[in-house]
This record gives sequence, C-alpha cells and structure tokens, in this order.
Amino acid sequence: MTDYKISAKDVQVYYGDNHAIKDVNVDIEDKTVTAFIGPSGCGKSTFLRCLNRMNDTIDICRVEGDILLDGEDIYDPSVDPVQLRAKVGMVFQKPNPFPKSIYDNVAYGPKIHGLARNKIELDEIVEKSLRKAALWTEAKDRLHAPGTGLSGGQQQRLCIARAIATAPEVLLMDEPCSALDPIATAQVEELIDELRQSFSVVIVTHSMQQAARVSQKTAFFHLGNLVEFDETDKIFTNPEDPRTESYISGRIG
Amino acid sequence: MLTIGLVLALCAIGYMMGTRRALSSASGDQRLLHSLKGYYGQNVALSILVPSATLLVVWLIAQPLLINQSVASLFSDQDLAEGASSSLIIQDMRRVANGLDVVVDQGLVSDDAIASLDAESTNVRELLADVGVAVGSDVTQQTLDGAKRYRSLSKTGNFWRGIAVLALALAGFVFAMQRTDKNFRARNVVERGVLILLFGAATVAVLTTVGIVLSLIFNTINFFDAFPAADFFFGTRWEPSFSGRGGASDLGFLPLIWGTMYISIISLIVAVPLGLFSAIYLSEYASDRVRAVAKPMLEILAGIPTIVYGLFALLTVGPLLVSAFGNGGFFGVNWMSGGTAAITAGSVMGIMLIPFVSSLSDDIINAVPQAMRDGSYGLGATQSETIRQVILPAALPGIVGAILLAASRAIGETMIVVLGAGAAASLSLNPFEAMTTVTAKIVSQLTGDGEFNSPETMVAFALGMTLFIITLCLNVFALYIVRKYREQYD
Repeated sequence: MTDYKISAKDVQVYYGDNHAIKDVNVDIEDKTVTAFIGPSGCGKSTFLRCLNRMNDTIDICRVEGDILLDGEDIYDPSVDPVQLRAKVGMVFQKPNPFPKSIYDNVAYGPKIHGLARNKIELDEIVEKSLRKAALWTEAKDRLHAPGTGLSGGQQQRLCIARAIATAPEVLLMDEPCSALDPIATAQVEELIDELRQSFSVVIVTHSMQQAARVSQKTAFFHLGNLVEFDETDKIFTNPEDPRTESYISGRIG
Repeated sequence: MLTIGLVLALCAIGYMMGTRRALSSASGDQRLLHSLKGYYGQNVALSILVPSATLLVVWLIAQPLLINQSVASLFSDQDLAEGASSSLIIQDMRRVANGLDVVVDQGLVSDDAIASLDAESTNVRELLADVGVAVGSDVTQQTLDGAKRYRSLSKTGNFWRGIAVLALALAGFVFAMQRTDKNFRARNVVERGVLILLFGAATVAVLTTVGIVLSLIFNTINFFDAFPAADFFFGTRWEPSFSGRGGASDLGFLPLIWGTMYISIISLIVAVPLGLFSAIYLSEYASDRVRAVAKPMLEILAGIPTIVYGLFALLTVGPLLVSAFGNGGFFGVNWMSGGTAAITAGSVMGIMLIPFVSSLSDDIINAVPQAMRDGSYGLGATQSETIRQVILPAALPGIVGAILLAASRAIGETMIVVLGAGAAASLSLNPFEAMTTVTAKIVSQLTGDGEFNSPETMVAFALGMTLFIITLCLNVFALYIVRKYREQYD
C-alpha cells in the first residue's frame, strides 16, 4: 500500500445534507499524471480539494474516510493543514496571480516556509521555478513588473511556477487550461509532462483529449461515484463500465 | 395653489382623453396602435405637466429677484451708505408687505385704503403689531412705499403667473391631443419624457451644490474686502473682538486649522487601527452568526447623532481622562487640567469614525477575489499570512481611500469639538490642552448678536470656504484612489 503517494479509502464528502462524494477509492502513484474526468458537478473538483484539505475553508463541508499521503492520514488531528498544503500544491482553474511583482509571486511560498536562507538562494529558487514553468525567457527581463500584467497563459504558468517554488511532492491542478487558448494549453500540457519527472500530478479536466494526452492513469467520476479508475489507455480504448464508454463517446455529460 | 390644482386636473383629463382618442383612431382595436394605449395618455399628461411646471418653477425663482431689483431702485445710494446693506432694507420691506397682507386678510383695512396709507398719519408699526407682525423699528415713508410697490408687483406677478402657466398647460394639451393618432410613436416620446424628468432631478442636485459654492464665494470675497487675506491665512492669533468694528480683531486662520488637523489626526489614530482590525475580523475570521450580529451593531455607531457623541465626550470621556492624566490622577502626572481637550474630542471622534472605516474596509476586503485567498492557502500560507501579504496589499488602495473619506469627515465634524475640545484657539502641541477647530469657530462666530457685515462674522464664510476646499480635495483624491482600485478586478 505504501508504494502509493496518495491513497484514498472510502471517502465520503457532504456539503450540508448533500452527499457529494460517495465511497471513492483511488490510489495515486508517485511520478505519474493522474487525470480526473467526468461531467460537471460529478464531484471531481471536490475530491481534488480534499487531497490538500482546501475544503476546510468551507464551513458546511464534511469529509469522512481515510486519505493517506505517504501512508499518513491527512485528516488526522495531528496533521497541520498548512504544512500539508506546502507538500501538496495546487493550481486553480482561473489564473490567480497575487497583485505583486512576478518575482514576489514566485518567492511568496519559499518566503513563508523559509526555504531560502538568503537573497541569492531565493533568486535561484525563483529562476528555477520560472524555468520549469517555461516562463523564464519571457519573464526574466520584467521580474519586477506586476504579475497581473501578463497574458492569461503566462499568468497560469506563473501560478504553476509559484506552486512548484514551494517544492511540493504532489501538484493538484483544477482544470488548469479551461481559461486558456489552444497555444497556451499546449504549453501547459507540455509542462505537465515535464513536471512528472519530479513529482506526481493530479489534474481535473473537462477535455478528454487532454486527459488522453497528458495522463497515465484516468479516473472517471459520475454523480459523486468513482465509476472507473485504470490506465489511461485502457479507459479510452476499452472501458469496462458502460457509463464510462458513453461519456467518452459523448453520450452523457 | 389653485394653478397647480388646475394643471393636475388637466393632466388627469388629458390622460383619459388621450387614451380614448388613441383607441378611437384605431377603431377600438388595441393591436393597431403603435404603442400601448396608456402611453398615449401619459404622453398627453406629460405634455401638459412638464412645460407648465418648468415655467412655474422658473417664474417662482425669477419673480422675487426682479421685484427686489425694482424696489431697490427706490433707494438712493445715500440711504445705502448710511444704513445697513440693501438686502437688510429689502428684508424689512418684505416683512412690512407681508404684514399688510395680513392686515387686509383680517379686514382691518381695505385693499384700496392701503394704497393711501402714509407713514406720517398712520403708525404702521402699531397697525402691524395689532395683527401679530413684529417690525424692528418704526416704518419710514420710504419703507412703506417700497412695501406697497412690493405688494402690487407681486400681486400682478402672481396673477400673470397663473394665466401663463394655465395657458401653457392648455397649449400642451391641444398639441399632444392633435398628435395622438394610431401611428404616433407615443412609447418613444414617453421614454424621452422620462429621461428628461430624471435628468431634471439630477440637475437640481448639481445646481444646489453650485449655489452653495457661489454663496460661499461671494461672502468670502466680501470678507476679504474688509480684512486682509494675508492676515487671515498667515495670522497665528485668533482673537476676534466684538466690541468695536474691524481693526482690533486678530483673525488668524493658522491656530484653527492646526486644531482641526491635530484633532483629526488623533481621531484617525483611534479609528484606523480599531476600524481596520474589526473589518479584518468581520470579513475573514468571524463566523456568519457573529457577523450577522456584530456588523449591524457596529453600524449603529454610525447612526448616533454627533451631538450625543459630544455629550459623551463632555460628561464621560473628559472626566475619565482627567482622572487618569490630571492632578492626583491614576498615572500620577499632572498633564491635564480640564476635561475639554484635544485628546477628549479626538478620541470620541475616533470612536465615531470606527464604523465608517470598518464598513468601507470590510466591503473592500470582501471585494478581493476568493481566488486570491485560495491561491495563498494552496501554497500553505496561514490565515494571517494570507491577510498580511495578499489581502491587505490587494485592498490597500481602497483602504487608503476609506481612511481619506474618514479624514474628511473628521475635518468637517463640529458638535463633538464644540463640546469636547474647548474654545481656546491655540497653536499647541500638547494634546491635553484645550483646542478649537475651524468648524467650532464658524458656529461661535455666527451664533452671536453680531451683524452680518462685520469681519468678525463674515470670517465664518472664509473659514467655511477654506474648509470646503480642503475636504473637497480630500474627497476627490479618495474617490480617485477608490475608483482606480475598482478597475483592477473588473
């Protein structure tokens, strides 16, 4: 069991009286890209947000079951959600750079967690993260310009750079390309593929082509249930469940 | 009154007739009309109401001005030089004229007999006193003549006003009725009429502001004719004397603006941290239930009349501060001798401003997109790190705008200062000393027996004008900052 980076067992999520996630079991391997697909409102984003306890900020949300990160239950009272989120980074649907300079956006996480001992180390982290996010060549001359002045695709890559700067072990991406044009999408997808070298990535997407292109494993959610979870190739070519098949061929969702 | 009633009645008739005429032009079939039948009626009613009401308003404003001018020409320049200003004489005459109206109404003297009244043979003052109209001094022949002329002019004026308004209303009625036809685009015309009505309402508000500014400007110019501007703006002593005219008074502006600024700064020192922290608590930490109770409670503070705050300063805060900082007080220092001091007024004013700062800042903090918070939490930041490093910087321009708006309220605040800060105009650095502000001095200069033509009273207008310009600049600056911030997320 502990070979898996994250393993979720019998996870239930309730929003007030609404049972949003039912009996989900997923094992996420290290250094792979796992895609969550499914129609809108099926709970894939909700489940993603459970993995770094972002749902804690919503009062009425309740999570049951076990989610283990490296064999340790992240909902254990002894776990500090703030520490957890440093390990499990997140990139959101809409690019949300802080109203600060590009440099300060990337340096934000390392500064909070004391990852750099001095300015030189911090500069290195910023450069490395921006390079990894394929933004360095575009941004190196304007590091101190506001991050909100970048284009949408650049902003999203800035947010990815910001997330990798804290050296996470898992990166959660909630529809990272839905606000981007096809060119920016292609750049981000390429990036995701490279990030797989360093850590595991979980991506929620509405685009089945995207899931097929970037992921090794795919989970199909429907109405709060995990319907099928398998190798991406198998899901897209030979799904076991009829619901998966009809979603992939465009009949539901 | 009668005119207005008639015009309104005509409107009602016009509405019904317009509707009926439109229907009959389409031989009773609503679908053949260009617009709904109600629009034809509204068109007629508006065509009657808008021009005649406009004429009425213009006439009401213009008539007294024209009459005053005509009556004022009765006086020679010599009279004006001796007596008070011409506006005072005209005021006298108007009062006499109104008194004569009452006399006629009560049937003491017939309307015709008024014309032959003269000041030599009749004691007009007594006559007026009989019907309960008090006049300050004996009525001279000149004033009586003026009053008679005033009466006759306004009488004819009122008569023609009624005629003209009614005529215009009828003309509007006929014009609109003639246009009413099944192909007439009544709906579009009514739409235009609504636009004009709304525009008119907005214009009234703007014109009033212009009027206020103009009245201040003219009085300020009068003041600077009587008192040197340099002494006003750069004088360091404020010692008006009410015994003599001019000369003896020192009307230096600096001690007052110093007091205003000093007290405002004290109040901001109190209000900004408290207001800002409570805004952060309410918008970021408080649960919905706490927020539902606490926010209205804070906003009640804003609804307390400032005179009540003044009483609070005078009766509670002042003595409390004296018992802390005064002779034999809690801290064993003898800094404060009386309850009225800059710090008393400043701290109470600060309490008054808390809801102002907090509710504006709360709105601004709430306007910071949730995505910013998510982004920061997603990187493993704690709540206070997120607030300090992401939310406050994002909201800063708006918060600065809120503080500037609060500052301009502090500068304009009067009652708390009158009751809490004392009346001595001093250029002191000591917050435990009595001080006074521009607004408090405006009150004390105008609430006396002084006449409205000495520099000691007219200085109030110069003070008001200066204050107005300062707060205007602050407000414009604050709004500019707030607006600039808003554009960032839209």
